[in-house]
Amino acid sequence: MKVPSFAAVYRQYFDFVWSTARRFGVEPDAMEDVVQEIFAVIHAKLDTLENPEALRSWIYGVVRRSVSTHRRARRTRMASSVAVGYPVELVSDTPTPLEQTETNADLKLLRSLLAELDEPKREVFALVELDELSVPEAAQLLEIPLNTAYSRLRAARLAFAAALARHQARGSRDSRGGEP
Amino acid sequence: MTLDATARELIERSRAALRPSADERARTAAALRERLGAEAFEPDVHRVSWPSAVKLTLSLCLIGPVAYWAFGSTHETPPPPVVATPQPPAAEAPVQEPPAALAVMAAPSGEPAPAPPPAAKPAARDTLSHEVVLLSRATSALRTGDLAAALRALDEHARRYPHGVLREERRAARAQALCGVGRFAEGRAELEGLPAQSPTAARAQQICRAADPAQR
Repeated sequence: MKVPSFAAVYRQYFDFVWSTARRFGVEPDAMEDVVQEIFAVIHAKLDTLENPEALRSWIYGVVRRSVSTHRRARRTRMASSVAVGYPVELVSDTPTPLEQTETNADLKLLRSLLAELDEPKREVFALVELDELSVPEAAQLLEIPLNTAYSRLRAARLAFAAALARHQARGSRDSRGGEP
Repeated sequence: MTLDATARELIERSRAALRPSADERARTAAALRERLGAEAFEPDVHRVSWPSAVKLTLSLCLIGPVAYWAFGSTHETPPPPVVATPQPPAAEAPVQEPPAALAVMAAPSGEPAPAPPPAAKPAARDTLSHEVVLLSRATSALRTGDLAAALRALDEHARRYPHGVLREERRAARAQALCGVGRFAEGRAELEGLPAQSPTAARAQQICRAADPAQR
């Protein structure tokens, strides 16, 4: 199998790269820079790809590493600002709560529910449910046996449903408590 | 185990929130196009596999000199003689001299301009501009490591302008691209006859020597 052109990779995987980076917790205001950086890496290294059939896994790895680098750099920047006595808010470009949209509230809830899953379950769940990969694709990407991927997904769905039920129960208790 | 309707709805809404907007798509594409060059987005350009050591050497060493050849040296190249047509003096009131680069466009006031050599000036300008475009395309492709695209642009330059103003720059850039894809004999042949005192040729020679296992 031939390594596809950068243009073809960009077209086919732009949404995947974007939503994966976003899902890994890149701030909305940093998304364009981070995604640019990811595609610059893909562009520079595409010809080193040894197995074109594993392109999606390879891209996933690039996204993971790039996001990790971005987060490290951001933490360092914020730590430096504290070290020299500036309040973090002055250099942090995190959106204020008022700037958050209703859709982002969904993401916040989703993140809090996913946080209740352990990492192996969360990854399979996110790849299948959010990135819409097939289970065999997710297994290949995470380099785990297919049966393991299926069992983790089953367990992840149960845990996710339970976490959502707890959240809803808390919400209804809070609303009852607020009544006169 | 499947998710119930509430969980499914939350996931659907989250998926939508994770997707980029049309504006974000457009801005990111424009920024990347500027950063990587338009060639990177040509649909038929396939990457050429070549040794990473060569790639590293080229990426470190080529960008400066080739960019200089394609842009810097072009700007500094004196215009071809046909362009530098002497302008007659103004008849009465002193006319401010236009900058040299604009001289061919400024008609002197008062007297009619002498008949220019027909079609020679625009043709020469167009030719040089097109040479620059082709070299720039090659430079951009070299910068991004797309040696196949670089060679295509350089081959087109050689076909159209075998004796062009930028022929030496083309040959040095082509030598480096050829060495980059492992065609060392052809790369060496391109370097033959280039002026030894030219820093660009010397640099090309160094790079080819570093890339060619037979010469190390």
